[in-house]
Amino acid sequence: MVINYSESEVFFLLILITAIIAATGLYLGLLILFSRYLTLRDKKAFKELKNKYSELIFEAMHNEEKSIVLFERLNKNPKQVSIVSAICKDLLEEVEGDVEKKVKGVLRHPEIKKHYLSYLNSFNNRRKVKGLLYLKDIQTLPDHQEAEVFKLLEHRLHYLSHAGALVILASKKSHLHEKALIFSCQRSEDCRYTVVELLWEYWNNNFVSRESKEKCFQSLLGSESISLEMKALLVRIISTFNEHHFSIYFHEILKFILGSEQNSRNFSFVASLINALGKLRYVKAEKEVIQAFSIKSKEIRIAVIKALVQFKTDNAVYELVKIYKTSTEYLKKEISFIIEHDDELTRQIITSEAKVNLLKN
Amino acid sequence: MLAKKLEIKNPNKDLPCKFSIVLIDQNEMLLNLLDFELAERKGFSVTHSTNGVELLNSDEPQPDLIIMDLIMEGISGIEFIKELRSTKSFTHTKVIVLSEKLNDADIRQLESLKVDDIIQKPVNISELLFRVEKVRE
Repeated sequence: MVINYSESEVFFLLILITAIIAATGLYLGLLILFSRYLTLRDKKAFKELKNKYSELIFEAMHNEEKSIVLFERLNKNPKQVSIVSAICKDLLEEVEGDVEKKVKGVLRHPEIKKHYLSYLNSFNNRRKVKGLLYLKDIQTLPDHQEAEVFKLLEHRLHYLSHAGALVILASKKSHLHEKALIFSCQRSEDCRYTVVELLWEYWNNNFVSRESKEKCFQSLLGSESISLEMKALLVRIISTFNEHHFSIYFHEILKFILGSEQNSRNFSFVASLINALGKLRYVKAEKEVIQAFSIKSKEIRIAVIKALVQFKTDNAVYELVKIYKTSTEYLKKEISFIIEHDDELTRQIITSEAKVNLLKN
Repeated sequence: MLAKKLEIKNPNKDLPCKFSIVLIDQNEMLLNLLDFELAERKGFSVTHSTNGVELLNSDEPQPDLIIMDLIMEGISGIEFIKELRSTKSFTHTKVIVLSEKLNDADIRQLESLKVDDIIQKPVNISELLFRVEKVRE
């Protein structure tokens, strides 16, 4: 059956469809505008609240009497504790010294402490982590929570165990530091990057003397329960602390390894030791570094080249030229690339006899 | 002013305050803190912003010193310094960079842009004040 519409009916239908589309569009547009207005209003209100708290924190930092205003306000609005702690955390990343102490002083206030300590007993793991990270920030591990936090290191969830380790390593509890580090190194084989954060946290712990930290690192590197791959990472991290004291210890380990049987060597570990010695410019290790080039490992050979480049002694330059002459194309490219980007080394080669040899090749 | 609320006396308030500083950082709280230390305690004329572009387009008299983070709104810190150095009116403006995790290449680049000092974050405020005094000399 065919329905025949008159022209006016078709026209009416078209207008109706257009009106429906326009009305829907208008409705959606208004809805979007309204939700954007609400978001902007919330954002503005939050910014104002944050500014107000910034001002109150600032006053509390400089005048203890004025801190009453801040904490009375928090007492009335406990949910806003997280705003204060977020502001303080941001600031802690930017400042150190006296201001850092003042900020931590604000964070340690009983009103804030009470809020976060209650998180530690929560069944919600996200909250628990927040509580732990709070303890890390204020570098406090209460005695009655020591055992509980230490037990977290064994937790099946890595992020909880990591947060627990952070709390211990930032605290004054020096008798737990080494144990926590060894434990974390053992269980972090699958996500080694987390160890970087732990080591830095410990290195920045101002309650612990540098000597104790050095002793702890030596124990870690000497521990049989930590894998050589993990030790290679430890050496890499420790060398970034730029403490020249460690070079002596790294040198001793390298000497020991080179004196041991060939098959007991771990290439990554040896390479990381050589890289660290080069980074710390420990020229006294030059002989062993050069000796290590005889080990047939690309990783070690590149580490040797990089270390020699750092040493920049006459002997190091001579050895570099020798390596260049006798090595494979790959190592030649590596040396050429380094020379191209190291003006000082280029100058040294130009002024040394080695230039003649290098140019000949 | 916050200092008025805190009733903190400015030891340098009677001194002529000629040295002007612009602070550029994204952390408002840090800006307030530095403002307080430099303006209220040291008596410098301090203004602050989270945006470097505003300063480049400003008609205000050029500051004597800019203390800035490399991360800012609208423009990268390095680009900002390049612009600054190529603008005649800022030729005499000194620059102190506050930044996290700078590698050797970054430091070399900043030195080539004739930055007067580089301070690694986290900042020790007493050290910063000392460096500002040094740059002033």
